[in-house]
Parts: sequence; structure tokens; C-alpha cells
Amino acid sequence: MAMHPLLKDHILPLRRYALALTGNTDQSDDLVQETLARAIEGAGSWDPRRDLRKWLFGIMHNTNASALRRRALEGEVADQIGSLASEAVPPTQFTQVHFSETIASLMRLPDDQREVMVLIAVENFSYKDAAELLDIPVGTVMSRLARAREALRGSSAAAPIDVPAGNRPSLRLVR
Amino acid sequence: MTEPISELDLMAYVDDQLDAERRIEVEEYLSRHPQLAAQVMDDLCRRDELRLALTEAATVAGVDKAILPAERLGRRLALRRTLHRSRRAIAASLLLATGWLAHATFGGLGADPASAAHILPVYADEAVDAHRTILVEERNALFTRSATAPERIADLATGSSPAIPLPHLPRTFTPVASHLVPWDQGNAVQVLFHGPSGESLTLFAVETDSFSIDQPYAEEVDGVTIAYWQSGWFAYVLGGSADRDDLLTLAARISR
Repeated sequence: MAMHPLLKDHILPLRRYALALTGNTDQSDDLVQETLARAIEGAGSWDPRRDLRKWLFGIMHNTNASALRRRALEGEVADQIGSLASEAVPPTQFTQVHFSETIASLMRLPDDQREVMVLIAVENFSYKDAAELLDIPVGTVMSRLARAREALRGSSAAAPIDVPAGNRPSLRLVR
Repeated sequence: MTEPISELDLMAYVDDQLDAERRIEVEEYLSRHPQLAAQVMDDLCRRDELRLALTEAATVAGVDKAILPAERLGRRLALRRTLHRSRRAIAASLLLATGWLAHATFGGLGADPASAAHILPVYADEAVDAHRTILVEERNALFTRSATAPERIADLATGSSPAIPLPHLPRTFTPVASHLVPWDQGNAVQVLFHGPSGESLTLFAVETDSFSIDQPYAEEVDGVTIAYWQSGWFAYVLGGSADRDDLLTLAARISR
């Protein structure tokens, strides 16, 4: 069955984001499913003049946040962090060892940094759109991103850039 | 004089967030700072690797489970977009309607105003969704045969208010499963039947908010042949792979 034309370009990006958020193919499948279910329920709130992709990613962010809260309540969050840090992603899930290390290093980032990193570096959202869909200030997006980059470079020599939360740096951003 | 290039400019350069003029300034600056240029190249390279790795991982994993809900969501959003457009077109459509009425009243040749004005009701769209879903579930044995009689399900659907009356299908049709289908405008009842030659057929029944008596009308929607009609406050949709005329005949028979 062919994917619906309105959704066909968004499912793969949503799966990428879900994988980055959960670090686990089963959980990411569930997250995609739950996100679509919530989107179906909330379809009435989508304004056709607004960016569909941003709306869907926002729903996935919120769905994941409530799933995390749920798991935290169930006392499982500690186990989950432990398994993410130690096993990262089982190599069998990815055919290329090189890629598995790339993803493993992404998975070692704290949740909030990883999320920003994927939205901007992988999904190419603007800083402003990422800030809106995560409901945080642009300055916070940029400082999380800077910290994530620093961690991925694996160097502790240079201190990460500190952007005061809530302030928008005087950058000449194109978008 | 150009503003000095900051670390944040370099990051925004990697993330493709700068306007063309600033990009050129950053590139010019990097050409004089090879060490920073190497770091920027490194970040760009890591960004591309991440894109590739995540895309590969997301592609390797199955997408099957997302297809049905994505289809359903796509239809909802498409409908929403259409409604949005039609609201904007209200002024235009009022003008058109005036013209159409004049045309119908004063004897347009060959045009059938009823079919020209025919729009698939929302419940029929919902019935098609439910039909496709239950067939997939049936193929994959995802439900257990319901022990609840279809009539009982119809009672449950409306709670204390009058139950949804279900038309009786000929004895050659065996009810297989029945359940509630929640949708925007309340509950619907869906019954899956097996026909005389084993074919799967669904009957979808909803309570509507307007009273009307309409003859069955057949249509093909997304590869599903349906026949739908309204009887008083209730609307019904028969869905199946059967021939359009056969389905319409069956609908006409049970709608009386």
C-alpha cells in the first residue's frame, strides 16, 4: 500500500527522530505509532497554513516527553539510561560498524542535547523552528547544540560556548 | 565594517542558518584560520554521517505498522485542508450556487443536479477507513471473534439513548466480529460479515445529527466499493470487494 501523499515524506524523518529519542527500534516503532495516533486525534488542531512537519515533530516530542515521565514514574528511567550508555545501540541492528559508532556517540549525549542535535543537524530545522517545537528559547537551543557538538568532537580542551538562556544572540540568521 | 566572526557564527554556518552574505564572510574568515576551518569541516562531516546513519537505521527497521495510521492521518489532514480551502471559497461558492440554482430551475440540458451536488459524507469516509483496518486485522488474525451479538454492540454504542438499529442481512451472510469504532462524531458500530462465497463485507452504522431518508448510493473510495444510505437519524455503509451493482442491490434489499 502506498503511503498517503501528505505523509509520505514525513514518516522516514519521524522514524529517524524516534530512533534518536529512544535509541531502540522497538520503542521507536511504538513512538511513531503513538505519535500518529495522537496526530489523528488532534488533526482538528492542525492549521493547514502551518508547517505539517513541524507540527508532527512537536507531537512526537511531547509524546516522548510524556512517555519518559510515565517511565520515570514506573522507576525504570535509571535502567534505561544505564542501558543507553553502556550498550548504546546493538551493532546487529546496523549493517555498518562505522554507522553504529556514529549513532552510539549520539546516544551518549544527554536527552535534551541529542534532541536538538537531531532536529537541527539531521532534520535541518531552523534554530527558531526547533525552539518553537520544543517550546524553549532560541538561546537554549543554541547552547544545547554547542554542548552537543563539543561532546561529539570528544575534546575536553575547549570549553563549550555558553549562551544565556532566553536571550537570542545577535546573529544574522537567515531563517 | 563587518562584525567579528564568533563561535556561534561558526556553528550557525555548519547548521546552514546564515544568510548568503554572512556565509561568505565566515568562509573568508575560515580561509585565514585553517585550524578553525578544519574543525568546521569536521563538524560538517559529522553532521552528514549522522544523517546517513540515522536514515539507514530508520530505513532498515520496518515501516509496516505506520502505514495504516499514516493513511488515516493523511485523510484527516487532507479533509481539513479541503475544509479550510472551502471556507475561503464560501463567497465564490455562494455565487456559483446562485448560478447552479438558476441552471437547475430553468432547465439545464443533460446535467443531473443531484449527482453534480453529490459529496461523500464524512461517515462514509470513516467507514472506508474502518473497513480497510478490519480486513488487515482479519488477515493477520489480530482480533478474536466477538461473542457479543451485533445488536448488543449497537446498544452499547449509544448507551442510554436509543440504540442504533442494525438492518438484518440475508442468512447467507455470517457475522464474524462486531465492535465499536470511536470517531469524531460519537460512536459507530462495525460488523464484519462473511458472504455466501466467503468474501468479507462490513456494515458500518452511525447516528447522525440530521434526519433524512436517502436511497443507497454506491461509490468506490480508495479501492473499496461502498454503498451508503441514510434512514432517519441513522446512516449505514456497506463495504466490500463485491461488484458495485451487487453491493447496491444488497444495500437496497436491507435498507427497506
